[in-house]
Formats: sequence, structure tokens, C-alpha cells
Amino acid sequence: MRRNFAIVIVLFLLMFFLRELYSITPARVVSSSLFTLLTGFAILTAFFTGNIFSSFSAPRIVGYLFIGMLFGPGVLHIFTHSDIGKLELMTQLALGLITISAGRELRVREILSRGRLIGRVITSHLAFLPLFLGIVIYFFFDISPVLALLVGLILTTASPAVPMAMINEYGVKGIFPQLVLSILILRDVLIIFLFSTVAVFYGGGGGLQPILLLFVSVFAGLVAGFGFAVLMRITRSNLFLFLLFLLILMYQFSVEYSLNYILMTVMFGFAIENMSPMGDAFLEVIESGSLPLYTIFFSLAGASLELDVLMKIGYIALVVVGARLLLLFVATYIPMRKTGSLKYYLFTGFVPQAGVSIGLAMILAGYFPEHKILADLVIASAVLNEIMGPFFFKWGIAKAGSENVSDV
Amino acid sequence: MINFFILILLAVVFFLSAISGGIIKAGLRGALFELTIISLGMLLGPSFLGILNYNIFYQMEPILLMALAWTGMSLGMQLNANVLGKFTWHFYFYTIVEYFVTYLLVYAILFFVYGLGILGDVRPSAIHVIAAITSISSPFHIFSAAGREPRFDYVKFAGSFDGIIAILLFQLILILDHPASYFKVTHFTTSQLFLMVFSLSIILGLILNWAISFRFKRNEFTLLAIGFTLVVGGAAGINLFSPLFVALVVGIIATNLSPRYFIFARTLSAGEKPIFFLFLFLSGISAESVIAIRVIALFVISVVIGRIIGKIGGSFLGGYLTGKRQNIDASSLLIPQGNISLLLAVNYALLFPDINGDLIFAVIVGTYILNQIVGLLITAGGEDG
Repeated sequence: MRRNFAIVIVLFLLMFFLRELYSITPARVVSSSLFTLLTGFAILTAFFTGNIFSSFSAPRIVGYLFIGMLFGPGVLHIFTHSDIGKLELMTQLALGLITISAGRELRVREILSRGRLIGRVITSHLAFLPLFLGIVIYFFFDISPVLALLVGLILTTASPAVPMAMINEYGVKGIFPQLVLSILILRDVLIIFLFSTVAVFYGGGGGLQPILLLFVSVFAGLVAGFGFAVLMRITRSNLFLFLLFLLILMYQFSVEYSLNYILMTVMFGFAIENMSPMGDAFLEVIESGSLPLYTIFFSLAGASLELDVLMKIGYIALVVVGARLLLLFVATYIPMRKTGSLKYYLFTGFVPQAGVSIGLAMILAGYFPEHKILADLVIASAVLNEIMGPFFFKWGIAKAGSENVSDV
Repeated sequence: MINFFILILLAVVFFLSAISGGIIKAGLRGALFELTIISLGMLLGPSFLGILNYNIFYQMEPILLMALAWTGMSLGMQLNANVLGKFTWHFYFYTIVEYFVTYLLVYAILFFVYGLGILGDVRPSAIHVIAAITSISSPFHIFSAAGREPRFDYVKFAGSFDGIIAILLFQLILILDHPASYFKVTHFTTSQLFLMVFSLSIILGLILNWAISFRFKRNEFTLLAIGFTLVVGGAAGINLFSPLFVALVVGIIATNLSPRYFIFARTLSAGEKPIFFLFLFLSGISAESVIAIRVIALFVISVVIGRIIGKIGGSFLGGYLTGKRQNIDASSLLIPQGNISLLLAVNYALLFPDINGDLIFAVIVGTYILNQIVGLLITAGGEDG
């Protein structure tokens, strides 16, 4: 731990020294090279800080998020919003890997064997969370009930990235991670469909095209995943490079044709796991190169956290986050009440919140620009949940991570 | 929003790197595969499909700085004193002679062509840079053609080592004619910049040595490699120095101080293929200017002729002076041009984003292509014989 700490201090000192030294150098030189230099420092300090957090039994990704926040525009301002934008390719590649891994956890057989339980939890979440969170929102803002319900629906979503990274970090296997990921992904896919449907009719734009595009995204992801599984039968070398190649293509397609990148990549992982026998081999492919991308992803996620938004409407966000936590617990406990310790701790996997909710909030802000503050509220809530989420999930893993199938 | 052109370029590079290992491994010879990638770059370049253009160079500067540093560090990691000590002075002397004979001959020819005044405002140091860069041999071709026969040991060593001499000479030329004094972009003098870069290289080398002494997993070493090469590439770029040189120094320090350097070196060497393909592909995008501009074509042909004579003559002279005479079979293996030449050319183009950079890049790409073709013919001739 001491050595990790010492190396972080040395890296920080060197970085600040160089930053000051070259602050007088003209912009032409500084723009690219200084950005390259600082990105390198950010990655290294995030990695070693993650190790420090790990030695305190805290999740590594909290260290990455912490360094990201420190480097970001909200604190030390080492990276500007424009700098973070330059690294978007890294973010998208990492997000793709995370959601592919999450999609791989959707095993049809296992889902069907526990279909009732998963269905009950999802139904309970969709019945409780949007409604009661909507009521909380309605209480604070002068908006229509349908709009409040839409915001409640957005706030119900969770981030698969944090659970996925922590499942990898702690090597958790068994029923706990499977249930968390199956419920989280299936529920969020349903929410994306529900949101698009309600927003299209209520927002009054775009016709049925957005919903059709979601189906196209699902189909495209399945085809790409199946194609990759076929490729894995032909060759086993350089598959990680192939995967990066496909992710870039999928991202570009999603931008070009307004497809849903997350849905595509989830379906990609789903297809490999369920439509081919290559699931385990694929896991090795992902693990061979995922750590650097995860570190960069969570550091950037930390840098992107809108701390100023949090400051602005922090107290409402705190109430919303508190209500969400309580509702998640209740809505998970009720359908799980006949299981072992899972009924108390399964909800911890649904606390982290990021990409999906922020993406949907942006769409909502596009439909209702006069209520931009609602998008700000979702972002502020995501900031808090993203910081708290890893601690909750670590707690859940410690308490229920070793739960086995017979307990369900 | 991610730059569309960078996305396309990276997608192609990842795809090519991926297929080069498995699917078409046996299908194409090394040089032929390289020429195919360059052709693909030309196809997507401005003259044909027009999907990519020359400006992409500057748009992806951070990636290029990192890629250059990655290669430089990987080379530096090979310079372990224990390994180098196994070779007698004859090897080093032979290599220095063959490299500098080629360099001087190419320089003399280029100086004559330059004297004709057809190139306009090109800096005199650009001629030195072209001579330094084109004098590199291709270790890949030498090793694949020579096999394990001991009579080729000297050319194998020369092929592995002359790229490092070229990086040092390239940096020396840049110190004597530093872009900072040319573009007036920094308040520091060249000697101050050199001192800062050199001190920084040593500090980063020591930190790297410290970091890799920890017990890490393989993918953690990958992360360290990405982080350190970004820092080194950025540190070199901000001082307008070559990332290849700075990373070489960092790599040399780490390899000679850390007992666990080989794990890190393995990680670096695993990432070299996509980097090489990236540079080949970029070369293809700009290769059309070699054909389009006749002056460059004249330059390229002069360099190739001078280089062939220089390599064979230099090898004979080096062999004669060391008492280890090299026959024409061995000497001709030095003709294919090493891929580090493309990296140095990109490096120069980034440092001099004007006619100097454009010219040098175009000339180096031209000589690279021609030398690969000549190398292929020689190898084929050797096999037929």
C-alpha cells in the first residue's frame, strides 16, 4: 500500500511541475502533447489509487472515479469538458465491453429456470419505483403527472458497468451476480422500450420510428454477436482486436442510423452466450484487454460527474436518492421474501446509476426543453448513486455473494 | 462526437492486425502484406475513394505520440547490458560502418539533387533527416530470409541495431536544428529543452523501473504500458523532441535496472503489430503524393539507388575492416527498409507540419515501397537460385 501511495504522490508532483513548467508554452504545442501527457498521468494515478482503495477493502473503481473527479472540471480542472470529449472513443469501447459482458450473463436457461422470480422482481420494480419516485418529483416541481412518471421511470434504471466491473474484481460467481445482472438488464431494456413508447406519444415527435429502431438495434446486435461466434470457430488469435474493430463499427452504425448502442452490445453478448458454445472462450477474450479500458472508463466517468449540477439541486437530489434506495430495497424484498439473505442484499446491485439514465434524461430534455431541470436532477442523482453504488454493492457481495442456487 | 475518420482508420487497423495473425497468416509474404496495407491506405486516401485525407495525421496526434513512444520503449527494453555484452566489438563496428556509409552516400546524392534548387524552401537539415531515416534496414526481412545460418549473424545484428543508431542520429539532427527555434513556439532554448527532456527521461525511467518492480497481472502491465507511453509521448511532444528517442532512454533505464523488465517488454512487443499497421496505413494515405509529384519521384529514385549501393558497399567495407567479410548474399539482405523509418518520418511530419514534414514523409514512404519491392525480388531470386 505504501508503495502505491508513494508512486501516486510522485506522479502527482511530477504532473503539477510539468503543467506549471509548460503553462507558458503556446497553445499549438500544448493542445495535443500536454493532453497526451496528462491523460497518461491520469491513467497511471487512477490505477495506483485503485490499488490503494483496494488495500482499504474499498472497490478499485471508487479509486478510478475519485481520480477522475479530482482531474475533472469540477475540482482541479486538469481536464476540461472538451478534453473528456476527445477520449469518447475510449469510453464507448469500454462501455461496449462492459455491456457485452453483461449481455453474456443473460443465459436463457438460467433465466427460464428462475423466470418467475426474475419476472416478479422486475414487475415489482416497475410497479413501485416509477410511481413513487414520480410522486416525489411531482411534489418538488410544477409538472404534469405523466412527465413526473417518465422521470421516475428514468430514475429506476441502473448502471451495469459498476456491478460488472466489481464482479470481475472480486471474482464473484453464482446466483447473486446472475440475478443482479439478469434483472438489471432485462428491466432496463424494458424501461428503454417503455420510455421510448411513452415519450414518443407524450412528447409528440418522431412517430413510431424510435421504437422500430430499438428492434433494429436488438437484431443488429444479435447478428453481430452470432457473426463473432462463427469467427471464433475459425480463428482464436487476435480476437480482442476483432472485438475492438466490431465495437467501432457498431458504435458508428448506432450514431449513423440512431440505433441504441447499449442494446446492440448487450444483444451481442447475449447471442454469443446463447446462440453458440463459445461463451467461456469469449470471456477470456474480454478479460485479456478489459482492465485498461475499465480504468479509463471509470476515470472518465468520474471526470464527467457534474459536480456543479449536484451543488445546484443537491438537496432535492439527496431526497430522490434516499427515496430510490428505500424503494429499491422494498421493491426487491417483497418478491424475494422467501429467499435467504438475498432478499436483504440483492437491491445493492441496482444502486449504481449512470449511462442509461443520463442518456434517457438527455432525450427527455430534448422533448421538454422548458423542464431541463429534470434532466439536471437525474444527472445529480446519478452522480450520488455512482459514488455510493460501489460501496453498497461491495456490502451486498460480502453478505450475499456466496449464496448458492438452493437458497433461491 | 468522435472523429469519423479516426474511427474508420482505427477500425481498419484493428481489422488488419487481427487478420494478419490467423486467417491469412500463410497467404501473403511479409513484404507483400505490408504493400497490400499501403495499397489499402491509398485506396481509402484522397485520390481514390477519398474517405481519408492527409489531415488525419494531425487529428490523431495523441495516438501517434503514444504509438511512437510505445515502439521506442520496446526498442529501449531490448538494450539490456547483459544481452549486448554477449556480442563482440566486431558486430558494433560492422553495423556502424554499414549504416554510416549508406547515410553518407544517400546524403551526397540528395545534396546534389537539392543543389539543383527544385525543392524550393526545404530546410538543409531535411536532407540529413532523409539520409538518416532511409539508412535503416529491416530486421524482419533479414530474420525471415536468413533463417538460423551463422554466416548471416552480422547482417542480423546490423538489421536489429541500425534502427537505434538512426533514432539517435535523428534526435541529434533535431537538436542542431530544433523545431522550437524554427517555429518560435517555446521560450526555452534548445539546450534547455534537451536538458529538461533528458532529465525527464531519466526520472520517468526510474519511475517505470519502480512501477514494474510490483507484482502485477498481465493486463495490469498493459495498463502500465498505455499510461507510461502516453506520459513519455506527451513529454517528448511538448518539448518538440522525438518520442522514439525519449522512450528509448526510458526503456534503456528500466531494462538495465529492473530484474522484471522482461514481463513489461513482452507486453510492449505484443502491442507492436497494430502500431506498425497504423503507420503503414497512414503511409498509404500519403503515398499518392509520391506518384503525383514528379520531383518527389526523382528524389525517391535517387535515394533508392544511393541506398542499395550504400548498403552493399557499407557491408563490404564493414566486413573488411572487422575481418568478417560479408558476401553479396548476406549484404543484399540489408536492402529492405525497416519499418522504423516510417515511424521516424511520421515523427518528423508531426514536428514540422509544413512542406518539410510533407516532403520527408512522402520521400520515406516512396523509398519504403520501392525498397520492399526490391527486397521481395532479391528474396525471390535467392530462393530460385
